Amino acid sequence: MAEDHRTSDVAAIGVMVAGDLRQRIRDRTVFIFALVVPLALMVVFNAVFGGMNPEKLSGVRVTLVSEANDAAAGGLAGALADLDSMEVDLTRLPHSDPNAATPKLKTAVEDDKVDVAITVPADFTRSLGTGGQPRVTVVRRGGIEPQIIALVVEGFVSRAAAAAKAASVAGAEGLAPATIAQVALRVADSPPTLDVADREAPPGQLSTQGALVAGQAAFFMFFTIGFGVVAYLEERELGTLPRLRSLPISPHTVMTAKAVVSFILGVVATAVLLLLGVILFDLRYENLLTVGVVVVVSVAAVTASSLVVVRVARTAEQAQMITAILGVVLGILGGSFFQLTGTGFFARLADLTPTAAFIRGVGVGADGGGIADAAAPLTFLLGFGAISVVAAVLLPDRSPAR
Amino acid sequence: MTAAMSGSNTAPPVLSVNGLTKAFGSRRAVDDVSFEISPGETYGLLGPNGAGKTTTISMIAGLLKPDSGHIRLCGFEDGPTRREARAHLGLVPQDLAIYPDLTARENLVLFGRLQGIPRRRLRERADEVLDVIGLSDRSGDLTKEYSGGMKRRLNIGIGLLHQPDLLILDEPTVGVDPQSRNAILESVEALSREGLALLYTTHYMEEAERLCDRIGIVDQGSMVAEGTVDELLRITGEADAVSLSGSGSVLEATRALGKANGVVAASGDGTTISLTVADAPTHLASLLATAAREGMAVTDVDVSRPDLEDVFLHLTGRALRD
Amino acid sequence: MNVVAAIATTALRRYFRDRSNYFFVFLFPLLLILVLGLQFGGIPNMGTVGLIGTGTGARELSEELEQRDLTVQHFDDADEARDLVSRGRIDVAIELPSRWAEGERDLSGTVRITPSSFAKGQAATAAIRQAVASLADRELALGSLVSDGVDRKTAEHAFDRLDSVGPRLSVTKAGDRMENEFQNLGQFDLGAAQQLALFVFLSALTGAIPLIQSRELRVTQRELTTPISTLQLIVGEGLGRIAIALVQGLYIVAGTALLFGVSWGDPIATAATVTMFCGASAGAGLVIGALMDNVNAAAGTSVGVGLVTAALGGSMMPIEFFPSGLLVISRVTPHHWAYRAFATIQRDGGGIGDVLGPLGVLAAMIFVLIPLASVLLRRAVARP
Repeated sequence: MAEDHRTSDVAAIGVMVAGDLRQRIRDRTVFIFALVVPLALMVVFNAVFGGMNPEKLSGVRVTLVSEANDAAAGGLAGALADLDSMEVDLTRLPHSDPNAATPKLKTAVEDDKVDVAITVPADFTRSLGTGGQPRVTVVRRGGIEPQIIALVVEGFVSRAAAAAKAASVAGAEGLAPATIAQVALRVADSPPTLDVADREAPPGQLSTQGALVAGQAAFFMFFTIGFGVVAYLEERELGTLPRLRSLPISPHTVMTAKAVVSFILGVVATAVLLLLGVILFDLRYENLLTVGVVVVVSVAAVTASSLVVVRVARTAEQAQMITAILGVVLGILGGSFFQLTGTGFFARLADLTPTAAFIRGVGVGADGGGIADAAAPLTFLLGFGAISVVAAVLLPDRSPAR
Repeated sequence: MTAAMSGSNTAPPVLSVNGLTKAFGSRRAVDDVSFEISPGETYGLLGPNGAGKTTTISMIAGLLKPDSGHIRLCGFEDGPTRREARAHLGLVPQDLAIYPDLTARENLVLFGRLQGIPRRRLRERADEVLDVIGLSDRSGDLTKEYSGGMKRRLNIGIGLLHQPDLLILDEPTVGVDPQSRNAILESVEALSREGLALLYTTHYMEEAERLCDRIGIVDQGSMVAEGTVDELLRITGEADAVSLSGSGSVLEATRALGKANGVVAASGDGTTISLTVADAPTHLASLLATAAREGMAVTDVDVSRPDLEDVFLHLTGRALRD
Repeated sequence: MNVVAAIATTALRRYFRDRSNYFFVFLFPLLLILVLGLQFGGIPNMGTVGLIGTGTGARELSEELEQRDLTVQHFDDADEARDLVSRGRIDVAIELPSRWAEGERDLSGTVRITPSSFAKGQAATAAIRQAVASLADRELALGSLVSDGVDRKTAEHAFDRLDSVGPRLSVTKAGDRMENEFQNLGQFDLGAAQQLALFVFLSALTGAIPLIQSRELRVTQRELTTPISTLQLIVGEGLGRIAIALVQGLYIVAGTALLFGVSWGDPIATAATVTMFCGASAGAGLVIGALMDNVNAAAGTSVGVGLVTAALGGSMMPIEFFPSGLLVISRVTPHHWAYRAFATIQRDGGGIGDVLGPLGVLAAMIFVLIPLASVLLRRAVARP
């Protein structure tokens, strides 16, 4: 009589997982998709996009032409020097300077010698006092830094205009000349009625490189995980699946083993890619526990979604195509390549992707946030995974041969 | 038939291969192979898997460049490197070299156009070939929907489409069910009857025996023997065993047969005579006549000959099939 | 020619028989052009502001912000907006003092700003400070008048009528090649040209896969035993792929022109550019198809090479923003030359004569890649 060699399901899964992992490692494909391509993209994207979203505003070179002792121009110079968000390299010229002529200033800006040239007319303050309309001119280069300088000048002119109007109204209302001057002065000199105070953003901001690494890791997670489940369909086509099914193990064991393979590949590849970020771009993950939990939960959720793909696809080829479409659409929406801004339709849609949740979660962890800070993305990922599992169980198998 | 074919034909050979050699790295896949195929002849390359049969064919079809050696194909001295020469050649590769996502007709038309068959003629030829391979009613279906046998038939059909002078069939029955296999063998026989020269590779000795006028036995890249089936069988030095059963004057018959032409030894009990004969097929008729003349009523004849399997074993010390 | 045509039409027929190609070839490019156009098209701005509150005060500030090139989005919940700041979705969140947010003219208290840690967050903050200050200016002036005994109603009335009092400001931009470069482009124009190059090239590279499959099926080998040359085979496969690429390229041109109003410029120059780019792309796909033997590995390589060359060739970021070193590397990609040709045609109204340079480079790429693929394929079929 034959001995009872019946293996436990767990042991069977272990054997199948080990065998599959060996195959995946031998096959260069996983290596290319999971590591080589994302690495290449990280390096190239960093070269191309790295400078696109700088952490700091760059310095600006400003030339201010005014009378040396003009009070208003002095105030403007002070306001420019007070800008704490960027360095202002301010050169002050008197009107008499040969370089102070408007055409010269324009040439200087065009030749990239100066970023912004401001001219406050000679009799600016006096002219205001007599109801005149002196014109302040600004010549600036493109870009946000010169635009900020222009806005400061605009604020300065707006304040002066308010003072002049107040004086004019005071005159029309028949106030005494001394009072009129008083009114104008008060407007020009008083501190702003509104305070503006900065608040710290909640944890989770990724640097440009951090977003790039997390984005690519999320993008290729789909493909890496896809290999495990596509293998299931390939086995069905090769005929090894019926053979496995004929073994004395429960019918879900094979699928479970494939899911475990996907999960392991996904976790390893994602972890390696995040680590490459540390090596290549000097990234820091302040709270490793949070990042680790986010990686594991994300990979689990995406693995669950790949089970749905197996249900829906008829052939391995179809499964690959569906995985590619899902991966690319979710990656683009979820911010693997660029962050959708604002709160428009597509941005709302982006919030429904595991990609966005992963990037968000990694961001929180990288910024030192604990697991509680990452509750929102983690909850979403768990929900996404749970719905996927339910869908995979409920959906009928569309494959022609079982 | 065999003698008539190889003996009397003086027309130049359709294929003549001389000293063909090809190495992949340090492994000599084909080593100094030479043979000729006359018009109308069916030539078999018999050998185990990995003997170098497909490599030889790839060189004849121009897919591989030989390291050395010479191939003369349908009168073209520089062999398959000449495109005109390849037009005379039909190849039925071992793998199903057909597009699964095209229909049978589309596959045929593609290769027909590559062969340079004019469009009108091609339409007729495709119909003819579809008819011959029995796929006329399924010609509009994608071939991935076909059964294994149907794909094999189409595979052969593509090789026939342009009416080549030499058709090369590389193990066309591998992995085919017995019924389809027989159909394939029958159609090969029919092609041979029509006078087409065939180069047939196989590792099934029964197929080689059944189909081929002459056979080259290849092993580990080398041609170890060549000849008609009978010539090859003689190599083993083993004679045929013939046993006659019957009634009447069995003992007299035994005695007479012992002296008959071709008989090496004879023995018998009252009902059965066991003979050792040098070439049973040649002598069987006269042996039976002798027995009848001596008054024996022969009811059962059993001829047991050594087969190519024995020849291969004799030549290489190994079995043909692993 | 009959032979080449037979191979080319077979490649076409097989490609379009596979429905799964349709998504990436036809649907996806237009979708992405739409998303990118909606997101990034048009004038570059100072950033996106999340403004909490929808009252009249908030609306008033919102107008001021928009005048300063900021994009404003309204939120009810401060936490949600601040969360989006850390996610990089918006550049800054603004919380107004509650009474102001509800519309009362009480401009006292504290405006709380949550900027992102990027330069754009700082820029938006600076702009917001100016906007808030200018709103307060009017209030300051009125307050000053009232404190000297002027009736508030009268003061408001008189103040708002005074348009032509006080200093003027004129701002001109100069020396900005970058903005001039893009000013003639519509919202979707740049993205359409960039994505056309990206997708046509990517699709052409994945064209390597059927070439490898044909070898796996041994059909290629069988084709080579017929009286055709390897070059004929490659030219046939190449023409088939160029045709596929052309279908996709011209579809993107026509689709974006009709759906998104993209102006492609001179049709002959555009068609010539698309054609030459398709040729170079198909050539690259053939080289990969002849070089690699594993379908899955080729798929991975195609995606990788497709995206990397797209990034380097200006399909993701305009090459005008590239540092000079990167610009040199960029020239290796066909995208780069297509980008330059499209730039000339779309922005400067160039015709065929103006893009002969880039087209020549693309032609040179074709004449290198196709024979190279032919040699590589010959070697590939000779592998045991």
